[in-house]
Amino acid sequence: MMKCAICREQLEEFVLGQCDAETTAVVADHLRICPDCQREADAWADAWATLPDDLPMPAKLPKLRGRVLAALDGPIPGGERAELVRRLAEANAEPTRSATPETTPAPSTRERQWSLALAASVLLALGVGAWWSGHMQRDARRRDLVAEQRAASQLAERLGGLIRAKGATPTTRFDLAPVGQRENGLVHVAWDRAVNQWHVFAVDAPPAPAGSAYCFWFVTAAGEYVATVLEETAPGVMATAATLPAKPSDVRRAVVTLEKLPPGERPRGEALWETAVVGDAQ
Amino acid sequence: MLDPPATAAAATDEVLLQQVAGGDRRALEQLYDRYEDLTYAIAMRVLRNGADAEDTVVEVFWELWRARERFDARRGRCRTYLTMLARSRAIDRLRRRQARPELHGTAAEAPPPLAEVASPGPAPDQTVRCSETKAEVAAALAGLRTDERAALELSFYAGLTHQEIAQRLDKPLGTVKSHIRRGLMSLRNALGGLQEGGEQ
Repeated sequence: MMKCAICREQLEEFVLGQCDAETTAVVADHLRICPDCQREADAWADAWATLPDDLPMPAKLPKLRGRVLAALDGPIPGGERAELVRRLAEANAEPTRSATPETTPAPSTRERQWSLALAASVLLALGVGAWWSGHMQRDARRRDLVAEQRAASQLAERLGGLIRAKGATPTTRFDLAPVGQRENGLVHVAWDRAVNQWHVFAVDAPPAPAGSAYCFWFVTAAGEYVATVLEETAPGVMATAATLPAKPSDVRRAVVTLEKLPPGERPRGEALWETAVVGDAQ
Repeated sequence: MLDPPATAAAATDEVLLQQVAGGDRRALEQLYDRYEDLTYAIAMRVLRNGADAEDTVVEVFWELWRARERFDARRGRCRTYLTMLARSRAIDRLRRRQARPELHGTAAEAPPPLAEVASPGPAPDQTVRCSETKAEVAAALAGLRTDERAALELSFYAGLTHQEIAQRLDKPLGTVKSHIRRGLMSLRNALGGLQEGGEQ
């Protein structure tokens, strides 16, 4: 267990997201259980945030205001597909160190900086992929889905590569196939061993009705169910990054269902996507 | 356009964030109006490009809106959150662009990035800091030593680690850490003192 004194030596850099992955994980673990150090981290963040106080402020930007407000309900702004794929490729070449700002308000997510950066990169690409596919004619949909699945698979490869490059640890990933006659949608799952975290992305999924949500379930070797709720992160894209009480070796089957909220202990909705999972298979 | 209700106009950041968490777009608009200048100035300072800075601001508020239900307004200050978010996204963009102008000169030597476009004015955080604190922060910023400021700015605006700053400034790592800690400490003191914590 990290001592407070050691933790505090790292905090000025930690709050800027400039520690290496190992230090970040250890400090984040400590902050989760140490409110004093968490307050100290918040205080350093507040101190850093005073630095821009003496920047000269820009003249008003009326066009920018309209742009910001118009972008709120759309896909992640500023992204043509090629740009996003390029960003992911660049991230692959040089992983970002910058902090995910959830670090300030939510201590439980501090250790996710790296994972969320990866997830964001994948979501960017997948989200725009879904947006693009929305413009396709139905006749072209199946062909587009194949291309989308291929793109998702390539992204998954890169995600796995990123995680391996960071932690030199194996990464489990797999896709869930649509059940029955469903043609649309793809669910991709990756496990980041370095932070013991599952990433789930559902692409091109129809919106969940009000009061319902897509739920991702693991069925463990003991027959128990472990669930997490997917959140819409962009039109047509549901995702989550969750620490679940199951490692790849524990999992035998993965299912996505549409559940009325709150979900129960077992799935009640029809299985929409599913797959069998074989241990730590890549 | 209708004016916002007087009560909403006077709302604190925390109240506005709670309203944003509930899906209130007008609350987000108010937060935007409060922090547009700050987020843009940060992005401009990092990126030194108006179009990229605007893209960063769009991304910041999109992210605030999309993550609104996960933001815990009881923890962390909205101003800090948006400052760190703007900085982080601007540095991400800077790295993607693979242009790091800060590396070609010390931050202290760098020209004012907003000289052409900016109109000097007060910081846009009147609602979250009392005037006394603002004055103390301004004094603390003005009182930073040149080497402290250089180290702080290279860390904050260029995203360099302490080790990288030490190499960049050709100073021992310990010296850089001391500069950063001392500079930050004076800023913390200006904000209202230190929290004392226990040992685990």
